[in-house]
Amino acid sequence: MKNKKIIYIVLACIIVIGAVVTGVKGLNFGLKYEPHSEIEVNINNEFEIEDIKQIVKEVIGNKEVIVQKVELYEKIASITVKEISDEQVQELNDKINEKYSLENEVDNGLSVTQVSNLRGRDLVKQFIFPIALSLIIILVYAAIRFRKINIFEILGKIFGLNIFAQLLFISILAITRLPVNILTVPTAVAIYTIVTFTIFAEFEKEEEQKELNDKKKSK
Amino acid sequence: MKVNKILKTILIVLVIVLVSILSFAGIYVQDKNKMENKVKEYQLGMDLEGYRKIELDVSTGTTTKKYDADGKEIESTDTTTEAATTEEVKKNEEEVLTIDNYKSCRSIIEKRLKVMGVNDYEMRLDETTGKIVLHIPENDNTDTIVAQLQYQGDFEVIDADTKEVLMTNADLKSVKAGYGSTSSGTTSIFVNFQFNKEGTEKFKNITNTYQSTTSTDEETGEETTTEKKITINLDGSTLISTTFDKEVTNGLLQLSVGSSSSSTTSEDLQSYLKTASNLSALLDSGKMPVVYEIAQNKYVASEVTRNNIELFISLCIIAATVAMVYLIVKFKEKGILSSISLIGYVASLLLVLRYTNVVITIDGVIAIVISTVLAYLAMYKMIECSLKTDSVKGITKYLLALIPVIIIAIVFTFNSWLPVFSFGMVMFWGIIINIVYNFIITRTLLIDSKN
Repeated sequence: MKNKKIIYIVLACIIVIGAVVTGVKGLNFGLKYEPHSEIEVNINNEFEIEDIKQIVKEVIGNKEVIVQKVELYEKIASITVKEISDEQVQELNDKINEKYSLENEVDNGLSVTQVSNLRGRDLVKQFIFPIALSLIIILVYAAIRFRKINIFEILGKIFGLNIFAQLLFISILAITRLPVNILTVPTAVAIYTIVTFTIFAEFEKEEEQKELNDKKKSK
Repeated sequence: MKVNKILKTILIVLVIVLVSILSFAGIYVQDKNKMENKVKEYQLGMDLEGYRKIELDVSTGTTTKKYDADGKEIESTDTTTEAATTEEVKKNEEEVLTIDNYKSCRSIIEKRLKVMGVNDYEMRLDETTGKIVLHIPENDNTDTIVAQLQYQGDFEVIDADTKEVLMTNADLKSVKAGYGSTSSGTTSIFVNFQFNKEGTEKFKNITNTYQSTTSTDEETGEETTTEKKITINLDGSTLISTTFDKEVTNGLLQLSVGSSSSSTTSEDLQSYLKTASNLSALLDSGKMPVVYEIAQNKYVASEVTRNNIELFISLCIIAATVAMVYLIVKFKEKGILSSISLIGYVASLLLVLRYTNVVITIDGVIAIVISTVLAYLAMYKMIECSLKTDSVKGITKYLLALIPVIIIAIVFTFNSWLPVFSFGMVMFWGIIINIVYNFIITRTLLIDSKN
């Protein structure tokens, strides 16, 4: 019991710290979700993503970089970096030319585009309605299924624990500065599913125990 | 009796091995000069497969307007009339280049994508320059969608002679594609323009004014027909020029796109319907206040590389191995059988996902992991039950706890947004297979093992 209390206090502290960090610094959005630069280079040959990454890191240092292949024949590389100066673009072009024996020039074989951010709400908005609707249906089902137990306690637990788990997840993201990326929303949905299942498994266990006790008493 | 049960267990294990080979390795047959996997490929979402990247830039170009000697504008399609004067007009005047207009364009594009059935996309708007970067899935329809995006959606009904603008987008309430069949079996595809209250009134007046009139010369008795025509324009290009037979009071204009005849194939009808749907999607979402042009239109491979996938699969294999070793250490023979059964479950789920054409996104991959964890828990519970009693009846409580997950899966499958749908569909199949597979395979293995 005492251990449980300590765990709850620690978790609550994480959420409070997470809220403060989110309020002050915001979440750390991943490279593709922040304003960034996209450099497209015509390699004219098949290439390895890791080789290009290595060259980019030699130029911009150990910063996050995403390399993707472009078009059907995959002879063009799309390099995503947070920011890159004109000098660095020139250096990058020279290094790629040297590696692949090319004669690209900036704006002729290599182009740089500034891409704006993706709105955070665009990431989650499509999930809000299905999650809210499923939660409502689950709450109604729980109210019917466990009508003999304290309904408000059960509904409170389902709703409260789900909110708690999501807040905890966001807080961990905020505190650890883990980037919000393509895995974040699916992870949040996974947490929702697992938490809901766990709560119901616990309720079913309690219900089973209660039935056993009732049987024992009646005997 | 005991021999029969051993044989049954061996048979089940062999079936699992077979299904696993099919699912994880595939069946390769030589086709011409290459080996081809006969097992259906997975359908992947744009986050795993790649996407079309479209860059829409605010147009900085100009259009040339030509005027004849009387100062009347010459249509761009008219090549016979010689221009007396020309004028260069900017496609976008300075005053339209505002943040509000850029945002409005983004909303209109979102509406168009929705109407055209694009159920997964990413859109970024640079509020300073108005540049829009859009990622949409790559499929047979992508090029049509891209073509639709560069239209401004400027709808005009004009007087064919005087070029006076009679109606605009502001008069439209909705534009929908439709089809109908006559008693003779002819199918017509059309676009229904439904005007709003003001538009209905304007259209009523137009249908009264723009009719064919026949007058008779009193002296010669000759009949002459005068046609007053309207032209319907989309982004300055003529869709149709027509007159009306009678007054239309319901504010509905039906524009025929095509109809079936003896030589019309179903592909032709589909093509007409597609044209009608695209036109309605374009006009129903409104006119973009800013003219855009496509600066880039390229296929980009997923940022999830082969290395990422291999790493993920390796991690899953390690986690599954640890979980199975735990089962084997704790439950010995039953643990071994359940572990084999779990491998069979994953193989079956993956095969079903291939053949039910479920599009797998990253959310779908996460759902596969959750389904496997749930199946593992079911097997764990079944072993516990089979050790206590001769049956696995105790599993009922576990099944009841699955109901909320089934609710989540079903609600998600009714959502058209691909990542949500993918998660829901994978969870749905995961649970169905979990129940059926464990009831038939795992239960049989465990009960036989008990005896």
